[in-house]
Amino acid sequence: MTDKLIIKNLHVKAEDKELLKGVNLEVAQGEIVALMGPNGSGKTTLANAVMGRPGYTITKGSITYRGKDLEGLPPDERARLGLFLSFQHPAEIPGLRVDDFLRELRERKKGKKQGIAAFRSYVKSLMDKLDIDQGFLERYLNQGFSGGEKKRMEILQMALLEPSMAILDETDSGLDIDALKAVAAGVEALRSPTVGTLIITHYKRILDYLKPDKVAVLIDGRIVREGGPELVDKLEAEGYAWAGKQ
Amino acid sequence: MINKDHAKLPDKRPEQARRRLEAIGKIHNLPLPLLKEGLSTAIDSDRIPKELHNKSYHQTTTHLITNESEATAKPFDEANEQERALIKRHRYSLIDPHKDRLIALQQAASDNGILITIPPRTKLEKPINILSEYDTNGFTHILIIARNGSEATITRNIKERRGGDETGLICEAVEIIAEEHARITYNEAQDVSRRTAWYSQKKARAGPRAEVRWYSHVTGGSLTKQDTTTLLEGKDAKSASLATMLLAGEQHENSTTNAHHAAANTTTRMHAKAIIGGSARMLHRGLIDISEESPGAEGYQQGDALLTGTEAEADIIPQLEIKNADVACSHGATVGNIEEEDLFYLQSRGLDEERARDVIAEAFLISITAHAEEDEQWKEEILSIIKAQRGTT
Repeated sequence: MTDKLIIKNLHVKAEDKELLKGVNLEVAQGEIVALMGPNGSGKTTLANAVMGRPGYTITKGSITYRGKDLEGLPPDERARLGLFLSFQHPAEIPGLRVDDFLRELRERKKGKKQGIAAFRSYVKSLMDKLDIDQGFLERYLNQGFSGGEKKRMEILQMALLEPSMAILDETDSGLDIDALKAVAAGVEALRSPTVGTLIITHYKRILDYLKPDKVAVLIDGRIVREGGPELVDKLEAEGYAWAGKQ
Repeated sequence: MINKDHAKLPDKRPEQARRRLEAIGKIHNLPLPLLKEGLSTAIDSDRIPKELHNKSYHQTTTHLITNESEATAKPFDEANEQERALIKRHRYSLIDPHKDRLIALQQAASDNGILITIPPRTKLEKPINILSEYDTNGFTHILIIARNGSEATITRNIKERRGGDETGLICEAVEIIAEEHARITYNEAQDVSRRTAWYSQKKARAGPRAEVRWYSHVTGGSLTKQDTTTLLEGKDAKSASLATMLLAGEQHENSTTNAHHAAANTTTRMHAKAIIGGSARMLHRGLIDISEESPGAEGYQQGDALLTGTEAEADIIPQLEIKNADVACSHGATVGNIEEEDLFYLQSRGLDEERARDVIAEAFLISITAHAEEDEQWKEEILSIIKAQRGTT
């Protein structure tokens, strides 16, 4: 059995439109893979398909993780397999306090109840690392948060859940330089030989902090280029139009 | 048994006996409460027991009062002479006992009640708690008199010990007199049997600079009929009505919240949030009525229902009646389902679908506390009522 995330000849439809047209991609444990591409190329569709968002139908091909075919598995079972998705647009849930939510996530992860004091001490140390004000614990989940605050909250959840495969969907977009550094530091802190990371982005800048092992370029639902970190600089210099050329 | 023989039994309170006799005489000539229809949601009025005169309405209700303050909180039958005079003066001074058959029945059958009086300029640190437990059908009257400059919170839990398939009827009246610059917060959590029709009339009068705040959390009852009215009679008076409902199965809920502005610079806020599961139905109406004598009045109302049952129904109907040009009023209403987006988000964090739905529903109710933000104590009271009922901490 392999611990890799393996996406094989993946075709995905949503609202009767084919959005992915035969994507092949692998992310191994310990590896950072960057998936780059212009707007509308299918990057978020791929993230949603991996996490099992309703409304996205696999019409052909497969997604497997840890040797298990993910098709038909609800999102929570995928999460329990070790997958984590940092959302591009995280949901706002008024009435759900951040501390209550995070504590429940942590208890589920650990499979046991945790005292409030012990949990607070643990989560505060994580928040310090991510430069998140502890006042956020008493706020409602993502309600009234700025774009950067929402992204930091995503990374905080990732740190709590300790996934073995993290997918960051444009976690860098809309971040100022300090937030970007904090987010990158959070991802870096989680980096280990047993954790794989798929970074989905438009831009080079987050990859200045998180050096990818592999880079893939997605255009119009297909991977059109694959390479090492040098591909990022090439894209920066030549643009996606270059990548799309045969 | 409510009949004339019963009513002729010796009564130590001739005035009350006379009123009760009068009420009994009128019961059958009065109409049943009007269950207003919604735009599409119909409330089943057959759930009100019709054979009122044939049923036994002997009560064995207990009211456990916890009061650690200098305020008076006692059953009517323990009132001293001065307090009896207050009861005589104010009981049914706001609620018309001849309005409909059930409130007349309430007057006829209610041989006791609770009087709460807050002395002038007294601010209670701790709430007065009342646990009302019904063994059978019940008829309760709560009379609250907040004297000038006083401030208090009354938190009441309404439960029923009766189980089984027996249908029942509980009729309640709550009257609040808030004198000048008094502030009264009345919180209520109703969790009676789902075989019982619960009828509650609540009415308050707010004097100059007085404030009346209501919070109601309804989870029980086969049929709930609840009318909450605040009369803003003094200049600068305020009212706030917050309500949450958690309905399931085949429950029907029909509530109205009214604010009548009759003085300058009066303000009203009304917020209702309901979770409607199963094939439950809810019809909620809010009315802000601003008279010509209310320049500078402000009113805001919002109602939101989350349908979690496949056959659940809800109508929320906000109404404004404005007879003065110098006012600021707005209203809104939403009826919808749990957002797939929110569900997916929580599931992606490892919560199974059932738990994710539950978390979203609870958060939806708890978000009512955003409208009590200005008072941390009130917010905490509301939160503890919701969480206690849902068995969460």
